[in-house]
Amino acid sequence: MQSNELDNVAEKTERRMMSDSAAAIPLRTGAPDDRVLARVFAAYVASAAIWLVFSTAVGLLVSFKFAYPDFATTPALSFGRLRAIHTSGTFYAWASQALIGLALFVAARSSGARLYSERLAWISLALLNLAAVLGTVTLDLGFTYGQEYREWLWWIRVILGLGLITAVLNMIATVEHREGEHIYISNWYTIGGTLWTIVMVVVSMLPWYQFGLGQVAVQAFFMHNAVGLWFTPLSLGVSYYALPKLLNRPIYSYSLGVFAFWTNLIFYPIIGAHHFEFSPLPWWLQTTAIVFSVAMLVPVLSGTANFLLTFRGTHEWIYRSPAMFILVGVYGYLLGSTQGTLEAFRSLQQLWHLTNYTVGHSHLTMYGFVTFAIWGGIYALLPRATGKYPYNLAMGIHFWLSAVGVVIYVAALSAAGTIQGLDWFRGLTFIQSVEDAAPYWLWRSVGGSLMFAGHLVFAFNVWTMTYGRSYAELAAAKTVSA
Amino acid sequence: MGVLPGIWLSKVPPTPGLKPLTPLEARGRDVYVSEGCFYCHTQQVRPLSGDKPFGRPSAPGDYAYQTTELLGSERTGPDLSNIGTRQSSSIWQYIHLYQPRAVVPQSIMPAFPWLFRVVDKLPPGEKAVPLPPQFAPGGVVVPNDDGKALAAYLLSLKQPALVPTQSGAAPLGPSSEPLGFDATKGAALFADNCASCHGAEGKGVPGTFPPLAGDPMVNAANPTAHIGAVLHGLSGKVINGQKYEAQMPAFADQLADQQIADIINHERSSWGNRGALISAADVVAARANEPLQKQATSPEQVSPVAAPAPSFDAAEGSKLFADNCAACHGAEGKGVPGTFPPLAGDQVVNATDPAEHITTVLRGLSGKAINGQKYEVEMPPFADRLSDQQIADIINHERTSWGNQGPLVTPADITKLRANK
Repeated sequence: MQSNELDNVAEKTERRMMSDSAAAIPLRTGAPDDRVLARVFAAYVASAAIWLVFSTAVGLLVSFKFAYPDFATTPALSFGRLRAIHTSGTFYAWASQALIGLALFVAARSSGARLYSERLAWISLALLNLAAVLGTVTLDLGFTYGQEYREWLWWIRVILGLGLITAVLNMIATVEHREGEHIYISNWYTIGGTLWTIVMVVVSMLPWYQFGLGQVAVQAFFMHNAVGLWFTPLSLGVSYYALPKLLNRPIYSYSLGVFAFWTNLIFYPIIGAHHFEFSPLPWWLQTTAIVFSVAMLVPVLSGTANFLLTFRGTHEWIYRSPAMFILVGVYGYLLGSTQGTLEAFRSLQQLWHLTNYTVGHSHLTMYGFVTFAIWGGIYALLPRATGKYPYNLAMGIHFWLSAVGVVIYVAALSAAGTIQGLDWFRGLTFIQSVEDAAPYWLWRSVGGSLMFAGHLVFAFNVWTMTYGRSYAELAAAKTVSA
Repeated sequence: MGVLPGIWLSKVPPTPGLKPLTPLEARGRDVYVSEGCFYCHTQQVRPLSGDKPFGRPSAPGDYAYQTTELLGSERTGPDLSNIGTRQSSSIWQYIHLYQPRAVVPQSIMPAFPWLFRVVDKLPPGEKAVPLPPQFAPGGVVVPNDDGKALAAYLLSLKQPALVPTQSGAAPLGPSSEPLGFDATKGAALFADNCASCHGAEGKGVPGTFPPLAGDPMVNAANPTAHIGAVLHGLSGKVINGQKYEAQMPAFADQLADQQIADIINHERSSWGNRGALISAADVVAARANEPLQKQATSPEQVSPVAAPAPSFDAAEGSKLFADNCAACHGAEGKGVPGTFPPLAGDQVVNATDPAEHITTVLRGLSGKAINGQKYEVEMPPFADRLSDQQIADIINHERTSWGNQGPLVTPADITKLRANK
């Protein structure tokens, strides 16, 4: 960890010792505004962490069903229902809650303003959790809209949408009260991303143009933008704030970040149809999607370059800093997005589309990029809010379990998908492709187990950063007893 | 980018021949959605070689009645666009839903026992699901309402016949390949099309799906009955004193002659079977004799070898085509994109039943939508311009050229349909 951060720890430790309640969130400064911000931020992260553990436990269970299809054969524990719970839970509960919590914190801190409304923040969190609980229960009972990544029934997605609207109002109102004239780039990404997502949630909910193939077109639009206009901009936005804090240096190029922001906005909404290549969707729609999938290299490469250039020269000490999470996230962004562009080409789609390769890709992006960026943001910013730092060892264990786990996971499924595609291409029997992929599914479960173990450590770390006893407190306690 | 194509594509007219779902089938689709079947089963056949086992390439109109759309994004299990044709036996569907590994040992599909109920006595009007003993729960298994609805939905998934015009779509079967038996191909085709019922080892499922190992029909010197069973399916047949209720689907429209010959030869040379091998020509002959067999009061008595296969004068057919048809459809049968439909690879031209093909030539056509492409230009009727023999020659030329493999017609067929106004 950076030396100035260590100083901070010592400084905070002193302050902490003045507080008398162990359960209270200690304060970085004594100002009540900060206490509010810390309280809100901590609650969002803790809630998100619970959803992460739950949703990935479901994911792990589901992965074992590939090897043991007759394990837990009851409706409530069946693959077809749990899969949606895993994806919706990681998307709309874990990542969304964590990113909104981070975005609210960044909005206030980067603007030098206080959070516009604590009550509104609690309402958002309550709505998001209500939607997640109702969504999980209804899916497990077999009630689903039947469209990947928007499985929740429409009225549950209304609740989710209200959660997003209240959150974005809070962000905008907070930034409106900023000190300077300038809006920091993180807020462009987080507020922009949330606004687009609200538009998308509404657009995808209206039923009257979603019949037959029309619904396929809307689904193509939705399933890709749910990632590209929501998780991508928010993760990038949070990183644009967290990384300079961790490295104690400004972002390499502000204008490169703005450039990536606008190109992302322009190109992304057009590329969804690449999920339905060779389908009966109009050929020109698929071609347009492929062209703009290539165009996505522009924001991806400029964003990646911007982060990597910010990192330059820090490799001497960075391996002990939460910045490692962001570094993995940046590489996850680069690899996952470039892979997405390559996958969009028809020649490669012939091989990889509809295979497990796609599942590997979605984990490389949603986990290798988004989730690692979120962790980087949380480890960087949550201690700054609460004054409680996690154990460095526990943070390291979390990092390595998750990083090694996701590498095994993605490698196994990429290999499985390639083999499936080749089997189909060679005209082997379909069941042969199932048998050939089976050993790789076992490896996927191995990777998934490591990832899940990492999440348990992360949940412990969140505890030490919020409501539990932090590293600094323990150190202080030792000093006292000695 | 989501809304405008959505509005536009919501209005795609249904593929001709596509039926709306019945209330029971619609309920079955709800079960399909609710159990998340679409996470592992696609319903989109792409114009790619690997997708051929699943049916013809999907057309936009195929989805006109499909809301919720279920194209899917992952194919851990096979595509189901045409499963109602590929696996038309409801008994198989029930066994497979109750316990997939009862019929496909390597399957990793979840079992859905909650779509069934186990009762002590078979209720009146119900049919028991004939599970193999090692998977039977000890009681009579019958599908519940959800199970029946799901099976009805699966059986409703049938692709209406259509012309593949997209680039990459191949004609129905290889025509230039030399006749002969490729053991590897035969085994693969058997695994794709037959093994889920008859078992990879040809043992079948006792009492439900007949074994092929040692079967008298498979080992018979005269292959007619064997070919006929594969072409047209079977049901309710008594074999060695055991009556088999499950319906065997017809493969005449799903497989090319060479493929059927490969499958039959695989069956005739595996698991101890020693039936005489056949060639694709035998299958062609059996296909061509189909009307004769149907007319015959007792099909067993008809010897297809004795019935002359229709033949035609290739030179005459080619000339008549050049004179009457090539101006629009092109000498190579390629048509003019968007204006005149191609005949090479056309489903009507390759159909086993030539009635639509003959009627089209006799009475002409206009405004037909083929693979989502509407052809506005009117095709003239030829009934008053050409004799039955000439029309038969033209049709036979089309059915044997540019990779087409439709069974031949006779002037008598034309006469019959001409009268049939």
